[in-house]
Formats: sequence, structure tokens, C-alpha cells
Amino acid sequence: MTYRIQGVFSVIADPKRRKMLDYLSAADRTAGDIASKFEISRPAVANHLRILEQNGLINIVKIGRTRVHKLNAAPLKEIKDWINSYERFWDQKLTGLKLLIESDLAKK
Amino acid sequence: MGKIIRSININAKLADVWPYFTDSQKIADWLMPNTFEALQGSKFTMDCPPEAGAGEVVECQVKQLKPPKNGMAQLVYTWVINNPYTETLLELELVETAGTTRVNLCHSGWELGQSDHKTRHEMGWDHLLINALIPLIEV
Repeated sequence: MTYRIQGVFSVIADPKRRKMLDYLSAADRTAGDIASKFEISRPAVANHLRILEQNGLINIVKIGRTRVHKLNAAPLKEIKDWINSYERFWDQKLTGLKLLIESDLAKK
Repeated sequence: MGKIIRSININAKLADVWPYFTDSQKIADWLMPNTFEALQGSKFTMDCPPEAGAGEVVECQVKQLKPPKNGMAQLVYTWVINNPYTETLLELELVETAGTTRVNLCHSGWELGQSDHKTRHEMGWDHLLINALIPLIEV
């Protein structure tokens, strides 16, 4: 699990790729749509899109003669779940701390 | 999402609660095995159990150490998770009121793998996660 999260982390560490995903969260887009939104070369856009696809963050679907890019948010959800696991961790630890201190003091 | 914020009230005086944050053995009793030393700037490790997120050794460094004074105390340390690489910060604030100590915990820095403030602020990571996840949640 963590290996995959590591990949997704590196992929979205790039602000341009985050912006591309954000752009795709509103609607499906063609490579041309995406390229026109970003002030970088088309090959650079294509490279970012390839990285996003390889890491499962987007799917490319052929509709007729156009290739449409769709966001796949499932890997992002894994990150959110991972952070949520830390929330549960602190809830458990702090409750345990309270019980421990209060019982230690009762023994005194 | 970028921050985990939790608070708990402990029926004990601050002077009795503080050692559970600064004495290595006492920290191990409620949190996890560690090499903590109550010294500003000191580096230490937390041996994170497998079921708790990191599941491996977490690298830490004391950034702020304010022992109890006037009913308040503060401890801040970095919490660097190696896999996936994440530099997080743990801020602990203890406040005593009428014999009860409130512990405020803030665990922040979940946005990115590296603490690069420029990229971190270019577009909120929360914003992306929320926007991207709305369709999944609504389905």
C-alpha cells in the first residue's frame, strides 16, 4: 500500500500536475484543452499526462477520434485514508494517555 | 486535512502531565518506544508500531521546549515519515486550569513530500483532494 502512496505523493508534489488534476476534476478534457491552459510546451504537457496515467491518476478514453483524459481519484483517496488513519491513531493514543495518567495518580 | 487537531482534558496538574511528554520511558508507556531527550534541538526516533500509519521508525527533532510556567507548557517536534516521505510537525500545548490539564495536539504538514514552501502554497493540496474526491463521495 505505502509503495503506491509514495508514487502518488511524488506525482502530485509537482504543482503543474496538481493543477492538471484540478482542471480534470471539473470535466474530462482532451490533450489540446489541457495544453491550451498551461504555459508550457505540448511535449511537456504530454510528459506530465503520461506520468499521471502511469500512476493511475488519469485514464485516457478514446471517444471517436478524440482521446479524452478523465481524472481517476481513487489513488488520492488512498492518501486521504492514510492521513485519516493518523487521526484515529491520535484519538486512541490521547485517550490511552488520559487513562494512564489518571490511574497512575490514583495509585499515589 | 492538512492538519490533524485534537484536544483532551486530563484530570491532573500540569506538573504531573508534563513528564509523560518528556520522560522517554513514560512516553513509551502511552505512545511508542523512543529515544527522546528533553533538549532543544535534540534528534530522536519514535519506533512507530506497524498498525499506526508509518509502521516504521519516525525521525524527530525537538524544535520548541517550554517547560511548565504559569500553567502552560509547550513541546514541538518534527515527525518525519520515511515511506511515503513526509515531513510533518507535531505541536503539543499543555494548559492547566483549576487542576485539570488540557492537551492540545496539532499534527500538520501532510500536504507534500518535501517542505518546499513555494510549491506547497502554489495550489492547496487540500483543495485538490477535496475537489477530486467530491465525485467519489457523492457516488
